[in-house]
Parts: sequence; structure tokens; C-alpha cells
Amino acid sequence: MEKTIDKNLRSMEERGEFSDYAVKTNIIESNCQVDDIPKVFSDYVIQLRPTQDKFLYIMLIRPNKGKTFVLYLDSFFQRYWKLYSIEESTTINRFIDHFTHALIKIDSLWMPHQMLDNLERDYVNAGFSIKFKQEILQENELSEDEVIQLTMRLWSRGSPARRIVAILEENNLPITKTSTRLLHIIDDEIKFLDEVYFDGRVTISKGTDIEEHIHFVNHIIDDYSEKMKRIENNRMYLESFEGGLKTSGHPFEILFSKSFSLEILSEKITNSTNPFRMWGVIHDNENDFLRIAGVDVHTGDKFSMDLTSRYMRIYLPKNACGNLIFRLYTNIQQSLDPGVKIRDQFGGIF
Amino acid sequence: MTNSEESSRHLDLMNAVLSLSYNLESYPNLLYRAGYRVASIEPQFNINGSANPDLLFMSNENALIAECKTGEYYTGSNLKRYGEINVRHLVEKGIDIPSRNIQIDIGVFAGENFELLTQRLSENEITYPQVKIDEVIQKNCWK
Repeated sequence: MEKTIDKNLRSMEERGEFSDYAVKTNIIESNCQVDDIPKVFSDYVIQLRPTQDKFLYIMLIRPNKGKTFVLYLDSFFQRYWKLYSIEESTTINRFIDHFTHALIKIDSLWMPHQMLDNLERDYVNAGFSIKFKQEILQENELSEDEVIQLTMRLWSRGSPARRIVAILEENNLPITKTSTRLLHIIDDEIKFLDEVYFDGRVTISKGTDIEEHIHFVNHIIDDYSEKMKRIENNRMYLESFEGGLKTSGHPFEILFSKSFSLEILSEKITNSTNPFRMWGVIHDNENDFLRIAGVDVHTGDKFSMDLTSRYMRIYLPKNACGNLIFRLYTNIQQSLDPGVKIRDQFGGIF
Repeated sequence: MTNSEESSRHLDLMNAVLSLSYNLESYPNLLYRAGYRVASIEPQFNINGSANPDLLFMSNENALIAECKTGEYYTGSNLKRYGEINVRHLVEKGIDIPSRNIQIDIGVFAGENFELLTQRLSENEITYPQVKIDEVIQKNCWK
């Protein structure tokens, strides 16, 4: 991998452009064992080869069309696998898309823009991408000052990035970052220039030390894992004891920045399609207040939801996967309401 | 009203009261702000007969026994016995108490037909504080 980093560095310097063959790491949110990965799914045949390191596997992927390619699966963190690759990005992205969408119990990360912002505190920011696309409401359902789509990519160190974000904020425009580019410099030496995407993809653009990149990826996993623990500690259930029943956990509140049509919102949120991938039945509908019994299509876990035009409350049952909350909130942020907030009993989560 | 409907209304009211002890922005959090947390749902005490309140909340200084009333208000001896519940009964049931000096309060919560409840309680010489939960509040509680 170090050789590939060096090669990419030379390639960038020579051609002044980003290489498609950059070293990439994809962080995968897993609720299963490595042995549970099916040998065949979608258009792929997977062969897993163990290595001397009991946590590291070589993944040989044979697509129906095209050449076999290789990924390296690091399962040291049971809940968060790392998939390393040096293949062409379109090939890897396509595979990861199938891997995290087609397989139950395997998901990508869903980092809201606040999590990407937080990563910038510890490194030198060298640019970002902002992407917002209104996916729920039609153009004729939006007011004149609302944004239908905003896509922006900025590569710059320091003040231009901050100034652009400030301008967007001042004008009430979406600042939903979907990636951030971070430089790690020690003693004037660039250890890495990595770009982190909201879905857990981390690409190396530049660098001299693969270990530093791996530490950085672990840092992202730690942050995500900490939020996940907080979310999963809020899962709700009743336990009986001699003195009656005890409740555990708390609901999540997702507070919209403005009012939305309940009909449109509920239809989109419960129809099991992308991006939310939730299915639900409205079992109580009174005075613009809906109660929904739902299933996370990705894991099969149940959830309950109260929905109004201004907010939703989500109740996760015991053992449900907390990634539903990340996925729901991040997708609302990127495709419905960039000003949306989420909180639990103890305040804002992100 | 069928038994099932009545049971559902009672559960709605219980949830409406229970939710007051959660720190939500989309629902009143009065009990939470007063320091109360849910200690037990449907605890059962034996005090010369059964005393089965719907909810028990606990703060650092106080316990609050909450009885939720819907439909045909039955205000019999079960309700009267709540006044005899003391700290020892809570400890015996494994309910965590912050100190032995807590004060135990009782509240009766109701939705519709509040006047009838007041009348029934008065007829039975029950003087616990009564709280009316607005129908809109009930609908917006969590379940």
C-alpha cells in the first residue's frame, strides 16, 4: 500500500490530477460475523481467504462481468470492518454499494455533516464537498427561496473554505457536507491527505505513512462507535421486577426546521425505498398526528414512530440496530431539510 | 365502549402521564424538570389488601404515586389504600429510594369527564390532588 501511495503521489505530481487508483478504506457497519458473508450475491462471487492475522482476510471478488479484484477485510473491530483496496474507484464503489445495500446486517456509515465538521478540529482542512438534493418534495411544493439542489466541491486550505461556509450559513443555504479533505502534518511532513466521505469511505490522496492513515480511520470508527453507543443505550424496553415494571431508554426527537406536508412525508418515509429504507404502517391518524409501526428494511428490526409536520419521535426496541438513526437523520439532512436537528433525553446528539 | 377501547384509553392516559417525566422538546417535560424519573410501572403493594397504582415516580426528595382514571371511575378501597404506602413498602419491593426521608405524594390524573371523577372521589372522601390531562396533550404523548 505504501508503494501505491508513493505511486499516486508521483502520479499526482506528474499529471496534477487525482488518481482513480488511490488507496481507499471503506468502513462497514456490520451486525454479523465474517462467516455470514454470502459467497454469492448480486453480480458477485466472493472468496474469503484467511491470513496469518486472524482478523485479516483477503477478499477475492469476481463480478459477472469484468476482472476479479481484491480487497483486504480487517475485522478487528467486530462491529466496524475496514475494507482496504487499491483498485479503481468506480469498481470499488459499485461493489461497496451492492455490499452495503443488498446484504442484510451490513450497512455503510451514515455520518451527518456535524461529524465531518468535528473531524476537521484535529487536522488541517483542505476542502470539502457539499451536497443537498431535495428528494422528498417536488419543485412546485417548494417556496421560491428554498433550494432544490446544491452541489459544491472546494479544494483549498484555510480561510476560503471557512468564508464559503460562512456565506452559505448567512444566506440560509444548505451546508450539508458530504465529504471533507484533511491534511495531517507533523514536523512539516505531510503524513496524509485523506478525504472522508459521509458513508465511511476514506481515500488517500497523498501521504508517506500508511500507519497514520490507519490510525485516522480508527479515529473515525471511535467517533462513530461513541455515538452509536449513546444511540443504542436509548433503546427502549420494559423489564419486570418485584416492584412492577421498569422502563429503560428514551425516544429520539427529530425536529424539522420548518413544517412539511404530513401526507408526503409519511408516504416517503414508510414506502421502504431509498434513501430511508424504512417500511411502516400508520395505525393511528388523528389531528395531523400519525403513529407508525415500522420495520428497518435493512436489518428487519422493528421501530415505532410518531410523526407530525414539525417533528418525529423514534422509538428503537431492545436489540434494534442504532444505524437506523444515523441513516434516517443523515438522509433527512441531505435530501429533505438541511436544518434538521436530532436530540435525545440528554440534548443534541450530533 | 368495549373493554378493549377502555383499556386503550387507559394506556393512552398512562403514557401521557409517564411522558411528562421524559426530557422531550415536543412534549411537556414538567415532571422531568421537577426532578422526577419513572421508578416503577404498575407496582403492587399489599397493605391490608392490594394497592396497585399505575405509576410511581421518584425524585431526590419525593415519591409521586400516580393513578390514571378513564371511563367509569371506580374509586374504591384500592385507591384509598395509596395513602398508607410508606417508605418501607417501597424498599420491600426493591424500589430504589434516594433517602429514607422522602415524602410520598399521590396524584389522580384524568382526561375527559373530570368533574365526575371529582364528584366520585369526594363521595368516597378521597382528597388526593387531581390533575386534568388535556386531550391534545394525550394525543401527542409517546407510546
